[in-house]
Parts: sequence; structure tokens; C-alpha cells
Amino acid sequence: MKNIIFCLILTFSHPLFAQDVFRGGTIYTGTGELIENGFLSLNSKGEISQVDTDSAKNKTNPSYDFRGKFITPGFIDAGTVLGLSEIWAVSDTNHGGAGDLDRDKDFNQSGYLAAEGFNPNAMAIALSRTGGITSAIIHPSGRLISGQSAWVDLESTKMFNAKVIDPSVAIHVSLNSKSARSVGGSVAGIVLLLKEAFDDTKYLSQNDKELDRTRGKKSSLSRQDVLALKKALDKKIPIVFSVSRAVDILTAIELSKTYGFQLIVSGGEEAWMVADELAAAKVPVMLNPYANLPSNFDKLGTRVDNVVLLHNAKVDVMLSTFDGHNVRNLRFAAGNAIRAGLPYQAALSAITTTPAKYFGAKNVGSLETGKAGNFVVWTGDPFEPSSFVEAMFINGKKVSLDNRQEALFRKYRTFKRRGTVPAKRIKLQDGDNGDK
Amino acid sequence: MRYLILTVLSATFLGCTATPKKSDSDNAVQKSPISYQPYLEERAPNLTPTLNVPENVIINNATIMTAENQTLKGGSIWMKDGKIQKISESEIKIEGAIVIDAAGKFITPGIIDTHSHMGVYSVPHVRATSDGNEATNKATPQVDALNSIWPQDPAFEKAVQAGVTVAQVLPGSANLIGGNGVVIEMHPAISARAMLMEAAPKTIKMACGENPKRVYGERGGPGTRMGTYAAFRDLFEKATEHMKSLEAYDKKLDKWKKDGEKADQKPEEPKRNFGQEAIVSVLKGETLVQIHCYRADEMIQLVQLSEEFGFSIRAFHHAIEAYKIRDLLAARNIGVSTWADWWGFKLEAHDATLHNAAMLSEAGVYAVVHSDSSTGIQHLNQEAAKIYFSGKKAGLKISENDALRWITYNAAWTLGIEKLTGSLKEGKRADLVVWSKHPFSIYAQPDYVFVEGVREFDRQKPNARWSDFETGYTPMIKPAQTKTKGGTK
Repeated sequence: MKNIIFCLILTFSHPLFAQDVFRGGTIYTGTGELIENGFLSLNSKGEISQVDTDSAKNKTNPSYDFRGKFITPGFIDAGTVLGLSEIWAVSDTNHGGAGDLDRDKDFNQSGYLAAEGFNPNAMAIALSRTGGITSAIIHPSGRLISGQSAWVDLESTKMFNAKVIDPSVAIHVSLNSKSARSVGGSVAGIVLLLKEAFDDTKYLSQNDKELDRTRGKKSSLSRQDVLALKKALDKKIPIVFSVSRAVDILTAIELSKTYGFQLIVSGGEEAWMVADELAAAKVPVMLNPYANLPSNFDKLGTRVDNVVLLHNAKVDVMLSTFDGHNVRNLRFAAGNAIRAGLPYQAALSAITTTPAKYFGAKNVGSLETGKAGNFVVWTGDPFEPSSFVEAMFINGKKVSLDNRQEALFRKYRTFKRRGTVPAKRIKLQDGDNGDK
Repeated sequence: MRYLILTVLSATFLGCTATPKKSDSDNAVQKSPISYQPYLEERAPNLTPTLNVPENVIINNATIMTAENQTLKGGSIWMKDGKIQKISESEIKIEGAIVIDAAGKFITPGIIDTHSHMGVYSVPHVRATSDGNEATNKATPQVDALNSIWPQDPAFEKAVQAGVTVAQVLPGSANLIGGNGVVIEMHPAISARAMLMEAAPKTIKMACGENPKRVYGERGGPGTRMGTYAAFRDLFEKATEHMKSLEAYDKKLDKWKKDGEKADQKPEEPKRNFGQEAIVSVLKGETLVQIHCYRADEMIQLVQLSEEFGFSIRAFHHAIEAYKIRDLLAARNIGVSTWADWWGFKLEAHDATLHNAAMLSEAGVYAVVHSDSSTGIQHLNQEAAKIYFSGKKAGLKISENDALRWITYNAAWTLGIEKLTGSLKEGKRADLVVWSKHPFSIYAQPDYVFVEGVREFDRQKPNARWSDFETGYTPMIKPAQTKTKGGTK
């Protein structure tokens, strides 16, 4: 009887709760703790009610026996463009940035919300779940100040595969040679424009009349831009700088000190050179641990153990795919960071608790009592390609792992209505006129 | 050494075999019936040969994965004169040989990437290093990637450190015929010519679909897929005519010789046409055809084109939808080089599935996992592992040996060098990698890489920087001192 109930629970994607208990396997809480023979239970709100070592006093029948398996917090990729483009080369499907939007404020799109361009049914979303991704931050692209990123959970709703939890979690700025070229200037020119924008934000946000005058009028900032930047200067949200060169990272740190915002370095290929300065300023770095080539002149100091050197210098690190279609590979990025020398638990924090901490999600990232039931059951070490997501829960609710790629596989697993391939047509030689 | 590639015609029934048909015997060295063969000219002479000194070395105590359906635990391998001399299940002892103890480590054949743009799209990526597409004409069969490769591309060093011993560098995919590819050995050298694998047959890059359409749509065409196909037919028809004129000259020359070689009657030599000769070489089966193509229906059309003009396609590259026609590809013995999981960048890459290579492999196609990227080339073992484990989970009949072949033997076959390298066998080239862990673990990294018996990478004793560009430029500190500890325990 017990077995039958167990099978039923496994078979049906149920709205569960309350009685849901996970027993027997290994739990990585994301806080640096590893619980063998673990016990995890959820309450009726889909929150974690208990996470502990399993003991005799836990009398509840195991509704989910995960002996020999692993539970981790759901992975969070903090640097994605997930759901902002279905197909890169099909421009109709691209909604990732203000682009050539007809606005006066060409370099500054602070008011732009990536969330408004997000497609919660983009095909990459369901696919991302197969990599243990429960949340992603989606950021806008283009211009110097691209706009605001959003926090999305890959939770199924009635019609959609994901939902926007917070449409404004950070402002995104590019301080590099590429973005300098896009506005026809140098990195020094970018800094000038940024200073003007920050100064004007300070002035206008303290002066409602002046702010009102920006309506319909040319100014270095529009009203929406001011309101967005003000949030950052009030330290309500961080500013993510896409920056590679060590010297430019120092510039960004200076700006953050002058204007009083929380800086997050994204990319940060040469961050290891200024690791101590980053640690002192409490600036975290979000990076792709596969990066090891001097792929442009901002990145001549790129090295694969960047993440390790930063970690050793006590800089908080986050790992990201910086991708839109293959966010599922975040776990392999973490595996590669470990391969380069990052401690296992640090790699796990870099895709769970650290992004939650810096992007203002207080109730996710780790498995602790009272936090959201966002977690993944793995068949083995989550960073190994031999392991797979066995089940995923978001807010305590089991989500589907099916996706279009699997549907195509099923469709073509056998060939229906396909005849035998004919023999190769033999080219006739000169003089031949018959069949061969 | 030249190979004439004959295609096996026997039909392979879908799913009845887990390994591609053996084709070693099909690689006959055969002289073309035409004696006048300008298109078979050797590449320019190597003016700056690299001194590559193979070691006399024995590696003991390793798990040896041969890619010949064999795994030796506690195995031993002896390399000398650039060749594998002996593989044994017990310790080999040879006086005078260097001995490396590889307890707990794994040995595989060197990784071969069938699709790289190292050197033609070098890092740093700037206009000055963009040499991969001669996008000035829809067909540039006369160009050779050899003449674009910058041997100082910093990507070469990273690739060899990741276990790559041989790679095919191809022109880009803007043109219907992009030019000749180059099979290189991963030895540092002062010229691309000195990196060329002499024994490899010539290859040529062709492309169809969105790229040529995009590039030539506003430059005189083709701007459509039908225009692309028509342009291909024109190109092959012209080359066929050129071939016939060469054959006619050959006959005249024979007759002239028979008739006593009268000076005033000597037939006039045909004019050289390097582009035509490159395509004639395809028609003669001397150059291996590598086609960038994504969609199943377009691949079918190119097979039709090849059968109309009587040439063989060695492999489709990228081939996101190849799984849909794996029966056809298996029956025609056409290989497929693809990624594990790239998709979403254009409409023709929309129908991707992680199981593409595994389904092809199961169906008996020479499946290859390629990189097309100077970053991707550094973890082809991980890419193969992703496909392998996912395929197994999905119930596909594939083995660890198959998966290893996706990045070794099958890649060698795609380049026509499978008799020389691509698996660990006595007498083959000593191209191999010693891995710290099982190569399908995310934590595995090469500890030693031997290219034709030359130790091109040793984790304990790194060589001088490969690239002059990186020499004395980057501020360096010691590598991070942290134990690499894979696994969960």
C-alpha cells in the first residue's frame, strides 16, 4: 500500500504541500552545509518547514525517498537574456534592449525594463529547467545604460512557463571598449556621460519641479530614467557594470564610492588583478568560468583561475552563462570553476545564495526554514554530465521538465511513414547508356 | 599520400548497428586515371620546418581507452619515434625509455576537432584578425585557409592544453564554396604551412542556407535557397566541363606520345584555373567535402546535387536536423559533425535536440562532436559526455566507446586520417592525452598531451607561451593554489 501511494505521488505532478517530506539523501543547503541522510519538509505555503538530518523522531512516512540522491537549492543564473529572444537572427523575436528606440536620451535607457520584453513562453525556458535552473535574472542589452534587469522564476502558471517576480532588480551599465564604440567615444567618454547622468539624477530627484520639467523636454535624463537611477543611488538596487579591464574596474569602484551605489562587476575578466580592491569595496564579481582567452583588447589578462583568485581574496563571486538559450549549462560552468580550483561549496554558493543576496531575493537561494521551496532533486553530483534533474520544485510546486527538444526527439525516435532509402544513383560514364 | 574515397553503397538499416561501418578498406590509395593533374599539386613547400622531437616514453598504470572498443585497466603504453609501439595490460619495461606513472589517470587518443577557425578568426577578435571569409564572391574555391592562419593565435595553446592534437581549420560559411580547409597538427610553428598534417587529404568547405543567402542577398545573389541550389549546379557543371577538357588534353597527349612526340604537333596545355581545379579535385574524389548545412531538407538537396555530379560528401557540419535523415546519411556513409547543444541563434538551428549526435551514432553514421569555437574546442570531452549520458538516459543504444569516437576516431575518419590517428593502436601516431580523471567527468583535465610523440603539454612543466602575442605582455602571477577536488565527498 505504501508503495502504491509512493508511486502515485511520483507519477502525478501534484500541487502537494503540507505532508510533503523528502528523506534519505544528501542535502546541500547552499549555506555551506552538507547534510547526509537529510530530511526536508514543506508547509502548505510551499515553504520549507524543516531541513535537517533525518532522525527517528521524524515519524512521517517518506513521500519522496531520495536515498542516494542529492538536493540542492534551485540554481540562479544572474546574467542571462533568457526569454528576451526566441531566435537571435530573427529580429522580430528580439526584445532584449531599447535598440534604436526613438528617444532623445540615446546613451541612457535607465527606464527601460527588460521585464516588459520578456516572453514567458520562450522555448529556452522549459529547457533551462533541465539544468536545475529555478530562477534567472534577465538583463537588457545595448547603449551605455541599458536599463533594468528583472528576476524571473521558471515556475509554471496557468498559461506561462515563467513569471516575473521583480521587474527591477538592478541597473545595467557597459563600461568597455565595445560600448564606447557604440556611442562613438572612448571609455573616458562613457565615464563623462555616466557622471552627468548620476549628477543630474541627484539634482533632479531632490527637486520635484525640475524633475517635472523633464517631461517632454530635452535633458540628459528623462523622468523614467531619473526615477530608475535614483533607486540605484538610494542603494535600493545595485548597478551592474559590464566591465573587463582591471583599470576600468577601478574606475567603476571609484564611481560607486563617489555616487554611493552598490556595484556589481559583470564579466570581470581582469578582476583578479584588482581582487584586493574589490574585496575592500565589497564588490562582487559575476563571471563565466569558461573564459580564458584574450578575446578582445579589454581582456588580455583573462585567465581560467580568475574565479579562484577572487574567491581566495574574499571577493563574492557569482557564476553565469551570460546566455539566453543555454542557461541550462550553468551547472557545467560551476563544474569548470571547480576544475579550475574553486572549492565545491563556493561554486554552489556562486549559483545560489550569492546571486540571491545581491539581487534582493531574500527568500530563495538556500534551503532554510521559512524560505521558498525552490529546490532540485539530482540523480548524482549536479555538476557532472552523468547526473540529471530528477525533479524540480518551485515554491513547493513540482514543475515539468519536458521541453520542445525532447518532443522533437520523441517524434523522430522512430520513422513513421518513411520508406527505404533508395540506392545511390550511379553516375553514367561516357558511352554508357544502360542501367547499372 | 593521396586517398581516393569510395563510398560504401550497401544500405544500413536504421538502428541495427551501433558503430559506423568500417571503411579502412575503402581508403584505397589509387591513382587518378588522368595523368595531367595540376589540381593535385602539393601545397607550397615548408620553408620553416619545426623541430619536433618525439620522446621515447612509457606511461604506466593508466586506464587506457583506446577508441577501439577496448578499455585496459592498469594499462601501459609505449611511444617512440612518434608512433605507438606497444599497448599492454601489464607494465612495459624498455631500457632507456622515460617512464611516467599515471596511476588513477586515463589515457585517450588525442582529441580531433573537425571544425575550427583557430588562426583564421584569431583572438583578440578584431578586424585585423578576421581572415575566415573571403566574402567577395559566392564561390572562392581557389582560396586556401592555410594562407589565412595566423600561427600566433593564442587559442592554439589553449586547445592543445585541452587535449586537442589535430584540428581542421576551415574558411567561414559566407560562400557556397569557401575554399580549402587545412588539417593541422598542434605543434607550435612560425608558419601555418609548418603545422600542416602532410598526410591528410585536402578538404574543401561548402555552405548552404541562411549564411550565403544573408551575405549575397544584396550582393548579386544568391538571395534564396533556390538561387543557392542553382548556383551550385552552375559551379559543378562548369567544373565538370573543365574536367572534361583536362581529360581530352590527356587523351591528345597520349596519342601525341604514341605518334612519336613530334614537336610541332604537341597539344597545347590547358590554361591553369585554380578555382576550377579545386572543384575538379572534388569531382575526382581527391578532396573531402565538408558542408555547413543545418536543415534536413537542404542536406537532402545537397546529396541530390552530389549524385547528379558524381561526387561524395564526406560530412555535413553543424547539421542540427541530421537526426531527421539519419537513415539516408547512414546509407550514403556521410558523416555529421555537430555540437552538443548549440541552438537558437537562427531559424535553421531551431529544431535542435541534445540527442542529435547520439541518434546518428546509433543509426551507424560517423557522428562527430565539433567545436566551431576557440572556447568550445577546450571542452569537447565534456560536450561528448553531455550527449552520451543524456542519450543513455533516453534509451539510445550507444556506448562509451562510441562517445569517445565522436571526438577521436570518427573525427579522424571525417578528415580521411583514421588510418594514421584517432585511436590507440600499435603503429598509429602517438597522439594521446593523459587525463587526471575519467574524460567524461566535468573535473577531468589533461595532465599530459602528446602530439606525434612530442610532449606539447605537461601540467607540471608548462612550455613557453605558444603565442608571441602573449609573450611578455600579460601580467602574470602564480596559478591559484587550490586543490582541484571534484566530486561531492
